[in-house]
Amino acid sequence: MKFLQIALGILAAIGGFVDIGDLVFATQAGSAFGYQLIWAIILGVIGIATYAEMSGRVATVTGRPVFSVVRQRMGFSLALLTLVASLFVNLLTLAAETGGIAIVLNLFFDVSYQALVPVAFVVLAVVIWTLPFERIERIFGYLGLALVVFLVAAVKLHPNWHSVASGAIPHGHSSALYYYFAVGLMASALMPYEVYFYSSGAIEERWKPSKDLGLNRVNAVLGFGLGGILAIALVMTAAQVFHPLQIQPDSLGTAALGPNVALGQTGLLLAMVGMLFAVGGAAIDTCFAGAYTVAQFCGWEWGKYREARGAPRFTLAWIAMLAAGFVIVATGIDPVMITEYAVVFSVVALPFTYVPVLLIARDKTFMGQYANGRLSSVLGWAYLIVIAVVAIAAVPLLIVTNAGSGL
Amino acid sequence: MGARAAIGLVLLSLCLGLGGCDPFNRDEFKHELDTLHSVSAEGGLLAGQVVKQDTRTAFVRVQAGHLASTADARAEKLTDADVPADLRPQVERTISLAEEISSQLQDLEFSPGDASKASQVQNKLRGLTGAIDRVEASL
Repeated sequence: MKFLQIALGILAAIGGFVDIGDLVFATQAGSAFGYQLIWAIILGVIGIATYAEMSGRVATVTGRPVFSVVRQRMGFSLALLTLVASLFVNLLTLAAETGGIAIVLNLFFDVSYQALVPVAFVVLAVVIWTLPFERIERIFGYLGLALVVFLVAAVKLHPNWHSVASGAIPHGHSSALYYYFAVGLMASALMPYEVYFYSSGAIEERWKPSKDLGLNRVNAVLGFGLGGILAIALVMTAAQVFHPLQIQPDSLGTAALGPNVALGQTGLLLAMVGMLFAVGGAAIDTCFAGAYTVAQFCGWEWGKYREARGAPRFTLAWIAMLAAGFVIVATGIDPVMITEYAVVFSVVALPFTYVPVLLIARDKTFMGQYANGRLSSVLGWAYLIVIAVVAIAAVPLLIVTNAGSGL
Repeated sequence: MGARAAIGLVLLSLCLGLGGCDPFNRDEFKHELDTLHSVSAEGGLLAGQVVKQDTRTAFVRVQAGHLASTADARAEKLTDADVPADLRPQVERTISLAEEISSQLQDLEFSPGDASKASQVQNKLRGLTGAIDRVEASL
């Protein structure tokens, strides 16, 4: 029974890993550079697994989620800056993900995108209001697993495995666009909302240090690790279908065309189902993540498990997040463009999120016997350097490449 | 971020933004050609799935419509551009190719289940992709 629970948790984590940022950046990167950027996904996935494990451990041991730790370690002013930056990025991501839901529904039913945007927001609000946390996580995680179709497509197209292996090794390139996509791929794996959501989820699911730290480690390493394989499959499919034809994907529909070419109508249907639940799940994650950060910063009661009456300001916060996301998408801005900006700007907020997590996870006065071991510490510090480099490079690369258009 | 860095970033953004007011240059034209190549090639791929009758009509209609509007937008941009004299013949040729690409994609959009029409569209788009490549090679 315990094994089954763990397996179900991992499956949900795999299905929940990919979001619109991965779909956009991985498909574009595979189309532009073939397999050459697989290493950036691997680097990002090791980073998110490291920090998700730490944040889940901190939440389980101290009973405090990431943002509460951020405020304690960084003081009011820096924590407020982190809150504003992360809320801004969360809001953009929520808008992009929900716009993504409308785009995929449009591909399914050919109903106007503008008409589907309010539908997407209402459905999300109903799902969040009515379903318990664990069921939301599982439903969207399992159905998001339909994205495994990209893995099947990538293998069926007979990739050049030698080139795939070469792409897994970090290497340089003369093009700024290459580094823009490298930053985008790493950033979409390391989006701050993932650790806010993951650590708050540990408290929502009432993890206990005595029995759930193993589950935390397995979830973080296997869930994010295997989820990263889906992102690699997106790159591989694009590298085989679009790269030889010099196609530059600029929509979610193009991403779905890859499995369609490889596996026919079944491939297309599974890709669209997977994309729908992947972006839907991520929309809920970002909505919650925004509400969590505000509530945890302000010291309000929070948590889906408390019901609306038990945490009224938290409930208002997620409703406000959804409403603000709707306003952004309703302006008609292309969700794919919002995604690119959200992912790149999230990079700038990364150090503010990850530094306090590392500092507290290694602090024996807080964590006691559960403080970081040598591996977590080495990986944690190494990734802070990577994050700092990526944070410095992100905005100049966005400008130089004209947001990845290459002009 | 320091105040100087922030000001530098704003100035850089302004410079890049104002760069859009310059006359149309070879790099911008090449970028438009790359986009049109991409639209035409993707349209051909989509048409190929209709020929095999191995896709969904709603998907084809939406995606072909999206590609057609992208081709239209490129044609409009080229029409409105302040083109230097040495590029004018190629730009004019490209505008007519973009309009033809859009027209083929609209055929696909309005007959998303018609395999024989899709086969014609696929062949025409293949030719148009080649024509775009020839314009690019002539630069």
